[in-house]
Amino acid sequence: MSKFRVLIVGGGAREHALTLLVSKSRLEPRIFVVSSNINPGILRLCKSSGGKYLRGKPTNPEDVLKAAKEISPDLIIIGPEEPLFSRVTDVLRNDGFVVFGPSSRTSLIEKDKGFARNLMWKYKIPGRLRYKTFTDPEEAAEYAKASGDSVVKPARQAGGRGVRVFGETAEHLSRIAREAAATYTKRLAEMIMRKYKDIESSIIVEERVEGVEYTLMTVTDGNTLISLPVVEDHPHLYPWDLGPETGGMGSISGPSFVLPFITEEEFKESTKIVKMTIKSLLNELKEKYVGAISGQMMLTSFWGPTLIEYYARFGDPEIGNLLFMIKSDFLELLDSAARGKLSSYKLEINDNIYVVNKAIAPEGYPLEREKAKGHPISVNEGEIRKLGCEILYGGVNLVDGELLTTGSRALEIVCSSEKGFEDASALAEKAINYVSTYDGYRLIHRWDIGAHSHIKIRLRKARLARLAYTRRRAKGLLMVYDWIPGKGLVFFDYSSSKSLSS
Amino acid sequence: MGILLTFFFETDQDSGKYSYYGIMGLRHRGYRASYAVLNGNGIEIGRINPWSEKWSLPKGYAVIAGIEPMASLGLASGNTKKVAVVSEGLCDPERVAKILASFKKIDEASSEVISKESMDSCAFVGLTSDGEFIAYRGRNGIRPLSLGGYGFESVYFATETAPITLMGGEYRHDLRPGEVVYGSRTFLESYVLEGGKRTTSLFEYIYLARPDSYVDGINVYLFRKTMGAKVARRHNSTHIDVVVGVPETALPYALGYAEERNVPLELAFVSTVGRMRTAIAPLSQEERLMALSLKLNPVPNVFEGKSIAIVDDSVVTGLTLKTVVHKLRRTQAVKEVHVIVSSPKIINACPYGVNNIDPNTLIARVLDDEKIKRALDVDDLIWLSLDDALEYLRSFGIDPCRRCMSS
Ligand SMILES: Nc1ncnc2c1ncn2[C@@H]1O[C@H](COP(=O)(O)OP(=O)(O)O)[C@@H](O)[C@H]1O
Ligand SMILES: [Mg+2]
Repeated sequence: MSKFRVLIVGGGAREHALTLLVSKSRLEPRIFVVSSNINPGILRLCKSSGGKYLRGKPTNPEDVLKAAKEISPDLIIIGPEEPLFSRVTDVLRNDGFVVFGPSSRTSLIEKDKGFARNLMWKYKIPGRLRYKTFTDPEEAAEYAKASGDSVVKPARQAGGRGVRVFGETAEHLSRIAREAAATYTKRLAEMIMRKYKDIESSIIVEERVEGVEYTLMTVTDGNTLISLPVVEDHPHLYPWDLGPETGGMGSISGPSFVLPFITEEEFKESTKIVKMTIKSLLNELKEKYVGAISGQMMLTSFWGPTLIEYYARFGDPEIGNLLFMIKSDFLELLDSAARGKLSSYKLEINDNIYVVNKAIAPEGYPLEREKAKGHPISVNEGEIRKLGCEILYGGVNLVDGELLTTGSRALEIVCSSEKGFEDASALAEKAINYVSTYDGYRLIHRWDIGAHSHIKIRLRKARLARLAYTRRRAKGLLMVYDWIPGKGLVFFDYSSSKSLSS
Repeated sequence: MGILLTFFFETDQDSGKYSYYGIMGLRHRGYRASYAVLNGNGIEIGRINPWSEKWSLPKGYAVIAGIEPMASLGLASGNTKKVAVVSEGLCDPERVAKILASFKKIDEASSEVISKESMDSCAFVGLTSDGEFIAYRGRNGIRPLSLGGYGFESVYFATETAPITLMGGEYRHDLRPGEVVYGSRTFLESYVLEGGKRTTSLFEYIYLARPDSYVDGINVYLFRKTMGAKVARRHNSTHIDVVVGVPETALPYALGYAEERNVPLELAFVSTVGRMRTAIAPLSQEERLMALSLKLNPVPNVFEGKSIAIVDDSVVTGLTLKTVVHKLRRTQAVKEVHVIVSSPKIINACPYGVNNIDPNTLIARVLDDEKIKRALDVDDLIWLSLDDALEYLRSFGIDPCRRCMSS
């Protein structure tokens, strides 16, 4: 039996994907996991690899440290973001463990959206947006009302919830949108302040942009940075990009490092943005960033590649797509990053493969989660595997032999095809037929992820954004001008290092 | 005709404020709208005149509305819920509401409703007091229905897309014939019945829709410009000095015609009553004439001694055209008047209720071309060939309904 022991912290779909990726390593690692729920997919991989599934709270440094001491792993991989924020990485490193995952200070890049935006302005990282952070709910509401056409977010990472876009796509809607924004901002600020005590600001109000979204996941040891294939997530709950915001209802990637609607050049520029970010973090905090860092990007008409938010981890569902895309040894990738030896690693991917990942959620996610909890799920794994698809368990818990929903996205189905997205999507649809609830409770997913009509819309939007930003660049424009009768010519200078200088 | 549905996912959002602009985006279709609003108290219904000075909708997170009289509202109560439906085409909104209200689950209710053949030539939108919405486009596809989204906030449905964009939304999809979409703040499902035909009303493209809309995927402005150009291609031997379009609907056609013939386009009339649509306004014959006259005050001294082509979008009763020609002849001493109609002859009332014209007032039904020419006092009368319109729409997969244009 192999000597290499890896401990993975967390028990969601992302950690399931990590477990699968790591299990394929030529090091044939024994896999240990610490998590508070029992994820059946991970449990199986722990057992078959000769490892163990330990119960413990991933966010509790003591729990994780205890598990680590018991196992003496060669490498610890932190899956979710919350353990990073609650100093799990710091405590483990302090005790001499080799950890893949950023420290609590460097993970501020995700936790604190104001910190991230400020860093971008201070170090002039391209793709930055105007923003302002607030502590006081009233003040935040007042600003949201005055600024208009804005996006209101919790200043702290809140698990993909709370963001509302108050678009003034037409001037005649501005009063209605601003009033709605103000009311919501106040309510959100109060909620965030009640819920989180570990951050100063409650709200961030940002300028709204439009375009095509994609995620660039990268792995870094603080010096070298390796970009993984670009993945597109789908934040809307419903088909046709309708419905409330979710943590992601599925994702597509392929046929190589880039998607059909993102160019090689845009991929490179996005990589540069993330690279500049880790450099700036080093400058700012005098600390190397070690682990995964991802840019949730949007191709916009102003900047081209624009940063919406950072993840101090792999994206979920995005990482599921990697199951079919990574050819080289993923465990070695993470291990070399954790040991500061990434420069000698050579990433290989499957060219020419289209991957579609679809999340399945119990009805009620995300707006009425109580309803979505506790439904027994049946998954015919055999039939799904026959289709060549992978199953990733997420918001489920194995209780007395029954698989119960926890209220979040229950599982993900990942399928691939060499023929195209449409084909991979059709496979996933077939596979989803083998997932149901024993109590007849409704499960939801998006049939349109990977559909042809869907890609077509993305291509068109990306083309429009590209036309606009290349024109802007050709003219060397980093200023936005506006004529306000009576006030004169006002401008906003994006080349300055302060966000609010107009 | 013309229907609308807005549904916000956060119940504290005021859909009524957005729907106001949606209804404004449909008011070119008529002078009365009925609506139903869903809020914490249940369903409230009412009726407004969207052309009147001050009107508003009650507060609520979801709204349905339809332009009367061809669209209408029905309300029904079941054991556990109330349902409001706005429908157009050949169906009774109250009956639809009754069936929807008699089922507990909307998926069962909807399949019961739409499986009926009598629903094939209908489109409807509905709301239930359970907080669910439903939208259906009948299998014949006669009545179009498009869908859009506004950020993470809401979903919108409307007969054409201008109301969707006016409410801040982005147009995303045209319901396919036989497609039903229903949902709530926690789910959304859709499916398409078999046997659908895309026989979208040709009259939508010709006259009803706004030029800043898509209807069933067709860009209305481009359709009209193209039709103008197509008539021009068949009418290129006569000499024309100048082209004039009859405001408002005919302007894109006139532009297409003028461009194709390389003849200048002039504005000939100025309106005193805004963009009033005299053809569908609820007026008596006398009032309609008065309104027309106010809408078409001629620009002086532009057409004297000239051969002009007057382009109109369609000729129904011929009243508008009569007024136009008369005014030009009387004030400008024009040399020749060639009338170009950018639609085929309308000779029947619409069996689906898309318009409710008395067949005996249809000039092209009652009179032949020679008589019309005499009645209108014009030198030439050219109609768009039906084949030209069909060829264009078929290239987009639509075989439009033209029952009012064929015998
Ligand atoms: N500045 C912006 N302009 C337009 N849309 C935005 C902006 N910021 C966020 N969004 C939209 O909101 C979603 C969620 O915002 P994000 O910052 O990623 O927060 P979360 O932590 O909830 O994922 C994004 O995926 C994007 O669709
Ligand atoms: Mg995000």
